[in-house]
Amino acid sequence: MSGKREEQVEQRLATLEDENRRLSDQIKRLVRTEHELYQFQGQLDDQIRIYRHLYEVGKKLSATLNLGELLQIAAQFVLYQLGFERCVALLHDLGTNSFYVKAHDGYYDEKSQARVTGLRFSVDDPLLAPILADSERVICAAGCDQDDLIALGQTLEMAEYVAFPLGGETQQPMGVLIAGNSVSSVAYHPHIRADSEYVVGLANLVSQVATAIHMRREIQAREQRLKQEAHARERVEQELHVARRIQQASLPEAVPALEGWDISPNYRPAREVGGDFYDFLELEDGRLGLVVGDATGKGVPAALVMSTTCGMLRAVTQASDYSPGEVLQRVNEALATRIPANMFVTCFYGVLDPKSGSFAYANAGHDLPYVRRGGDCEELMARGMPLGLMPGMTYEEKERVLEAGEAALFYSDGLVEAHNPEGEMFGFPRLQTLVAEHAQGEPLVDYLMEELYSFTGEGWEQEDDITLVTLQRVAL
Amino acid sequence: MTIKAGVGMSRHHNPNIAGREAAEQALEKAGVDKPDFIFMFASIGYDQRSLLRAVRETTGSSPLSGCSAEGTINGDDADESNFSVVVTVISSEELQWTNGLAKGLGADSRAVGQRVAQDLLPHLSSDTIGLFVFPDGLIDYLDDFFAGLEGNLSSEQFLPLWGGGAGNNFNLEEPTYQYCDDKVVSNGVAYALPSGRAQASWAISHGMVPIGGERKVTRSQGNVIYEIDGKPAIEVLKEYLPEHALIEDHDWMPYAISLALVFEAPSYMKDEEYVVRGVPAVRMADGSITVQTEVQDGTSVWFSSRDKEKISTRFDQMAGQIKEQLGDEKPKLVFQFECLTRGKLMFREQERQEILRRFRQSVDPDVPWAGFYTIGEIGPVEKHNDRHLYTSVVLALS
Repeated sequence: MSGKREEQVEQRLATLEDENRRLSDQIKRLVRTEHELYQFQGQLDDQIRIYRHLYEVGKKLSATLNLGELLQIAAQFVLYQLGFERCVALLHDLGTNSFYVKAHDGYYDEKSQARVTGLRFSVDDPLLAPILADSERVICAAGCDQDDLIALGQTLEMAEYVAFPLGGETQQPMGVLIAGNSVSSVAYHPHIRADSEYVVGLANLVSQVATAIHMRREIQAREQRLKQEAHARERVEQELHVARRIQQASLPEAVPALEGWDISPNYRPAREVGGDFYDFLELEDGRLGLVVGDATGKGVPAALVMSTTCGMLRAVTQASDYSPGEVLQRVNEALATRIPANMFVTCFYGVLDPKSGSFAYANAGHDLPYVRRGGDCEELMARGMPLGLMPGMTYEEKERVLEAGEAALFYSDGLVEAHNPEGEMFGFPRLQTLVAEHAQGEPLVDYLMEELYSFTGEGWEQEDDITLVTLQRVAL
Repeated sequence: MTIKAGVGMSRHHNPNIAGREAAEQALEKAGVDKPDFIFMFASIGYDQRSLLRAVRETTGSSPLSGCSAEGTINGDDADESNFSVVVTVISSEELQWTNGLAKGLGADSRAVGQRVAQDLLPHLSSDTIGLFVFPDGLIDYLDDFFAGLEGNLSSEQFLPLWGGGAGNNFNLEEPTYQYCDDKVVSNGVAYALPSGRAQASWAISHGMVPIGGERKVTRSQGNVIYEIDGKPAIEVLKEYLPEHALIEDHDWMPYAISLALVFEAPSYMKDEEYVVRGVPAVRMADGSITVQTEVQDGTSVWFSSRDKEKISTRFDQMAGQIKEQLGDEKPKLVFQFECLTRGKLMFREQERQEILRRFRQSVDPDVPWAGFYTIGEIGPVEKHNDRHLYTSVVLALS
């Protein structure tokens, strides 16, 4: 009986000991779990805080165009969110090809502060070599035995640090960001370890900073380009203004009045001034010299050549009673030695005897004038090379009488080479037809300009100067 | 009475800037240029002397007391990083302050207590309000300090003590710091004695709950327990730890935060069933554990763990107790001395902020509020001054 009781007590004792062991195990698990939970939640809070602030700092980095401010934002993040003691941001100076301290944060005493602020490293400084050679990062952790890394740490007063090149994947890094701790404060800051969440957070920051710097530099380069372009545009505008003034000064102020004749010029300059010109030269015996020409090129060079040509023509015609061919020949001789190699001048020159209606002319490569006779249109043909191309040229001379009711049209290539929106050219055949079909009454110049506008349509941007001069013998 | 108080805080890492920022904020909030007294609690990452100098340069030569901390509290805003400083400035025509500093706490804490008492005796009067004490938190055993202090004061007048142990990032190898005026010392105690027409209302609570059953101390000496239930104390402790968690002495530190001993509360503690005593160290060599109080053989002990729900509930009770003591008075300044184990070592950041916010709202959402995370909290229960652990001590001056 007592044996059975003892057995029951033993069983009860064993059950209680089992329960006690289970409870003890549960308590151990509880303590372990609690310990791990509290450690994990601390890490989680740190990670959440870092990533939340990374998002915020990203917005700040995007909002500033100032590189110093941008790097200062990064340095403050390194100190106040990642918790490292010191941060130094170096920027590459293209002018001196060196890296200098653009921003830094963290406590240095006054003497060290001044020294660190003034640091400058040549691109081939051995202290930076390991960082510039590595596209990712360089870690100098506690116990590091690399002399060059230790030396840089001593320069920056960091016993341990991590250094990131900024944007150096494909080219020379734009800068270097270094975060670390001094030996005296290492206990109060996150240790520099490759697997630390703080170093990972720093890598994220560096990526944002590199992107932001790259963007700033792109924006700055674009701004510089725009500035240069604006400057160039301004210079061109000034040149155009000068060219326009030269051209205006070379054109005749008045149209000569000849009894029985109607002379009507129309000059329409393009935005970018071309080299068109025309002139009326009063000669002996009441004759009238008529010039229409075009200097190659645009702007000031064309205006100067045109102006020079006009002056030469006046000088030659006033010097002696030369025939049109001789005039062009003499002007060509003078111009050929002075004009730039790639420039020349086309020029039609005719001399009208208003009494007889005789019109003698020569042509230095200019578009052939048209004469309207009844319902027909004839060309005033005469051969000759443009002025200024080469010396020793002669110019064919021709002469014909302009009868009452006949009209001659002198023009520049700006008219025939005008394009409509479909890209079709106005062309010589169209001009010839229009001249032939033009009826008496409306001035020929006005008629042709209306036809031109109709052809090109609205919004036409005139590509070249257009010059039209009509010489019409009034019908009796 | 009129107390003007302001609390300023800075997280700047440069001690010269941080000290100036915090002091300027405090002066501005208090609306005073020259305060009568200053409290300063600062994290351990700073060069402490530079920090104190920056505060003093801003506040002038007003007396100052304080210590290094595991973290700082400024109203709802708590910071447990290594870089934050909280400065409190106080100005009142009806308060007088005496402050001091005693060194050598680790060598002979009783003698230090005696020296402090001798320094204070000439300044004690019937309108003495209490004594703020900020001892080195790494001193495991402060009972002798209290004995030396209280044993040399008048037994007719109870002098309540409030404060907390100075911290150093929980690093046993490094010193903590105590501040008095322009001085910074270690291994000492800073103190400040306010007298005058002010009412002090306070409350204390811990958030530990026993785990497992009752155990008996079977061999002990002083504050070292060698055996529990006839087994080496270290073996009993291991029962509450994961396998292989405890191999070297220093392995214990991470667990000291979450595992403590509780004893039956003395009869004068009406609100608590247990009183908490930490286990700051273990000795694998002889299997002993060190406790922050003297232990007699035969004493009942329980192992205990922190409990979030209890902490939260007890904060509500503390708010009620303080308001009851305040009566119709509005608090002019509140101090909170909070155990470091009740901060980030337990709560997530948002949880902690929410608990602090709710507590402050319950007491007074507008009152200047300063404090720090301590290693050991000091506050009286009834007429007994004690150094508590895993505890919050909150004091309202009105």
